Amino acid sequence: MSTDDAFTQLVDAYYAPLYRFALSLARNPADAGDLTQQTFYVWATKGSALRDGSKVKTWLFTTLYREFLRGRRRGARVTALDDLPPGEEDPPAAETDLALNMDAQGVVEALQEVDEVFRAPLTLFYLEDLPYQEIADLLEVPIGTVMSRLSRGKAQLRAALARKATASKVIPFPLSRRKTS
Amino acid sequence: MNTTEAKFILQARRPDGQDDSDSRFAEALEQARRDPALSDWLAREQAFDAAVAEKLRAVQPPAGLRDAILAGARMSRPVPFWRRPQVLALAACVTIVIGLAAAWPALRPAKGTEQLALGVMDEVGSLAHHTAMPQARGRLHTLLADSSTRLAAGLPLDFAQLKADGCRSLSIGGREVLEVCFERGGAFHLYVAKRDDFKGDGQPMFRERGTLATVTWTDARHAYVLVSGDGASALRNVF
Repeated sequence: MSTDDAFTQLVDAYYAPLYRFALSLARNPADAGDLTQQTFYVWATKGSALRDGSKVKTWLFTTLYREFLRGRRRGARVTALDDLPPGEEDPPAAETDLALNMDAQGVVEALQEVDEVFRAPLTLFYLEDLPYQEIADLLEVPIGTVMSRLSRGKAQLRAALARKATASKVIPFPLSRRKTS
Repeated sequence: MNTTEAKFILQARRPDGQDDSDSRFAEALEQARRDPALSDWLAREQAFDAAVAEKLRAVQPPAGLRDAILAGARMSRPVPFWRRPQVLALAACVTIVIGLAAAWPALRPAKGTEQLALGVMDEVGSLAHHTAMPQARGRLHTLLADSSTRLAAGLPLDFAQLKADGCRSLSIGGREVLEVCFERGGAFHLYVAKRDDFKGDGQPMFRERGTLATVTWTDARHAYVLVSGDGASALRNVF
């Protein structure tokens, strides 16, 4: 197999999940596309140094995440974890319906409202691409911290979904009627 | 493990079940099987997670992203070091130098046979010559010692073979010259050089310096100088 063929296979296998991860981090499609492209650019220039072929997927996700962090202003990401609110205990049954009834765009938008420090593990959790140990390695935190951030991230996601659902139920005031009154 | 701890672990269980084999989840899952309330909670949690995961998977990358990645990465791929311009230029220079070195014997201007003759006369007159006078061997020795052999008629010589046979080698004008000595009523010294190294018109040229006499001639492959310490008449008997 030629180098080009191998690279094409790599892109075909991972560009979609990487884009989804990038979209949750970057919050807009253009930046997500850039991040995904940048990740494969780094692979094209440095990927040959990776000896273990089984680590390619983790390497790509890790690179994307690092590229995202590198692209942000330093200090902006650091969130005081101690000040974070506790996660919700029990999800009301209705929230499942919220997620089911909302389109993909709405769910992604809700996900993008989650604090960044929780968004990365939460997205990786839902993408179901990496085992926990690799998610922990990627984020450079212990597995317990990943689970903790997941718990709080889910709480924020539920809240965001609820806000979006409420907002979509608001009936706009008819301007024409206002003019006639 | 209390219920809060079990929920903390189970909320991290992926809907596709990939974490079920992880020992961290096993105990919490077992507890959920025994606790109906926890089991209901887990079912709701898993349904919510499955719904979100499904929505996330439904997000499609923008059209053209794949092609942009492929095209961009190909453009960005590092050029192997052996294809970098500097390395190619260096390789070209080395090739030229090696080529010139290999071709130098053919490219350098040939010396004249006169220089060959004078160089040979200097050599024969030197002390070094008298301390090393290797004789021709084998068939060549027989040929040269035969009184009927006339060197002007041509000699079955091969420069490389002479060198391999161990003939003494010397340098005249920067060119390699081989020496073959033989006896035929007196001592004779035949010097053989490559034809390309010494220009000549092919006509025999006799020279004398004291009792030292030389005759120089060329054929298609070689330039020759025959030397005798007994004067030109001795040369003419052999040549």
